[in-house]
Amino acid sequence: MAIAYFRCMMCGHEWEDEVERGDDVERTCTKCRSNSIRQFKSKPEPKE
Amino acid sequence: MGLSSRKAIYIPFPQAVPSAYTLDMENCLGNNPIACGKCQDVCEQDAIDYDDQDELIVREVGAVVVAIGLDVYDPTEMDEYGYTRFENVITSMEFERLICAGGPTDGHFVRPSDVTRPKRIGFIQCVGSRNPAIGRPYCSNICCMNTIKDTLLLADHYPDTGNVVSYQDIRAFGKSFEDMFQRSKEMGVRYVRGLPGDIEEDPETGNLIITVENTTSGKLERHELDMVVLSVGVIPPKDLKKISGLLTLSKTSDGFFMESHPKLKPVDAPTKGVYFAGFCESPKDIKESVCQSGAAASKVGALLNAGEIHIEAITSVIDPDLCTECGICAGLCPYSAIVWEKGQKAEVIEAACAGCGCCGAACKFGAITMRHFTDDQLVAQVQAVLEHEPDEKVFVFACNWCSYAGGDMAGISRLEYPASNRVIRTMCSARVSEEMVLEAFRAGAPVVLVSGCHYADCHYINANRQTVVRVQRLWNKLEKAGVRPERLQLEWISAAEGQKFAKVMKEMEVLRATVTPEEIAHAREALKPKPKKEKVKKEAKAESVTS
Ligand code: SF4
Ligand code: SF4
Ligand SMILES: [Zn+2]
Repeated sequence: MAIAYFRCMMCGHEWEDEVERGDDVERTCTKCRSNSIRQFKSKPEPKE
Repeated sequence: MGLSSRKAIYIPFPQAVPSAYTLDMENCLGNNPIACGKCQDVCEQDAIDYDDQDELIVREVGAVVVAIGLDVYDPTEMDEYGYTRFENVITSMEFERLICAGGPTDGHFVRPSDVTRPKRIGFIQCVGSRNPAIGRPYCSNICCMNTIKDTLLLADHYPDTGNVVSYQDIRAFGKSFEDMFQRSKEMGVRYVRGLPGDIEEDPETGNLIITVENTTSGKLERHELDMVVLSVGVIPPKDLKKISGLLTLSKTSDGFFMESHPKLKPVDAPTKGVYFAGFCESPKDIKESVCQSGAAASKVGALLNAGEIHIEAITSVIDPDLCTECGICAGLCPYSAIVWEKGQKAEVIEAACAGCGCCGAACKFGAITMRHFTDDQLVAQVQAVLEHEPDEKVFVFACNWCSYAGGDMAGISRLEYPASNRVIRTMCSARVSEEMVLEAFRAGAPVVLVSGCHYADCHYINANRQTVVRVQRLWNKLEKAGVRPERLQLEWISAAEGQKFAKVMKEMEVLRATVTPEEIAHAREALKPKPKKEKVKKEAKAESVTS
């Protein structure tokens, strides 16, 4: 288990979640339901 | 189940097919015939050979039917029901053995703690089913009807038993099932809508106490019972992983095998020539399993008797002159349709290729051509679409099966959405290479959307996971080049989601309106393909010679 950081590329919502290697999860933004979810290994720089 | 003992030679269960004896080699003394060998003496057919060994039999076959069945959920982890702590808590499988005439008690139904006949029996439904907390969110399909059948059996054998069934929902949707449910209720069985939080035991009597909130009456009910039967669910068989590796099969999120198409090809595996029968594909009852097995047998018959097979024309081909033997494509093909070994050129087995195009999008050396969806064709479409007024357009790559059909659905449903989108169809979203997306930005697209099937619906096993990998890489690339990565969007839209298609198109139009002409111009420039190093060197050298 590792922590991954996610950012919705539609509404900008950010969150973190536990992920496992080989996870097969369809990701959806909990705020706007978009599937454009960008994953980061470390906490991304806040968006200006 | 540990309810009785059996001999070292036995028939696995009374209805076993074939109804043949099997030797329990761990307990048989026949390996040393001097010690025993009695069964060999009495077998007139000479069917017993103690020296027989396991052997690997290799057969070449034209089709495979996967019918590896199921395993039963072990309720030990749900400690609140005390399966390992209370003797009188049993599973539905143990119930079957106890009430079976050929079972350990010759069909006399007794409770384990004091071998007396229980008068009040409780059934708890959905143990190991419809419970996301333990990773089993699916309905096991058979347990409701199994419990109803058990209550009818009890009512028939022991009319004086009082039975209580604690349930979430009763799913009695098959032929005559509702009738059985009503009969069970008429026989006096109490159905309480609600599941108990736990089971307590009275240590003196061995009786069990359950407290349930009856969600129909809104009242708390307390029942003292002689015995509790946990109606356990079913789980994917433990060999499923091994078989899926052997036959390149994929699993649904529930852990059962994924069929080629849930509605139109429920018997076919995505791997050609492989079919499913029974539980390993999804929980189902005997009737459904029989139907599926019949369908699988017919499919095999049709395939093997056809004499020749027709394959789709949309397959990939590898040009050995361009292949650099990197092997990337072979590792990505969901169907294992690419043969490659270190130091060798990759080659496509066309009969196994499903035509997703994932390999074509991944090959960095242009060695793979997807028939009917070649790089040249797709890039030409991108350029043609964006030739005039590209800043007014939202460029969409849509997969054939889901998102393109979702667009159709939006149209058929007369849903309104902005007219700015221009859709290009590929068979799978995994056909969209990074280069094609960059080409769209170079041609002036303000926004590019890549859309495909939801994970569970991917028509090419799991090819669309590669779409995600590529889009992630592209976001990084765009950011590095100073292009706003949000201009590239990803959406999963199913064929039925016309509403979602229209909603997404509206969102894309809003996004498009935020992209400035300066941003478009910058992207055109910043994403220009870089000349290859050797090429630059060669050109510089040529220049220095001529000057
Ligand atoms: S990805 Fe391209 S270069 Fe690499 S092995 Fe496959 S066809 Fe050859
Ligand atoms: S097109 Fe798809 S199925 Fe065919 S070889 Fe390439 S990756 Fe495999
Ligand atoms: Zn969002």
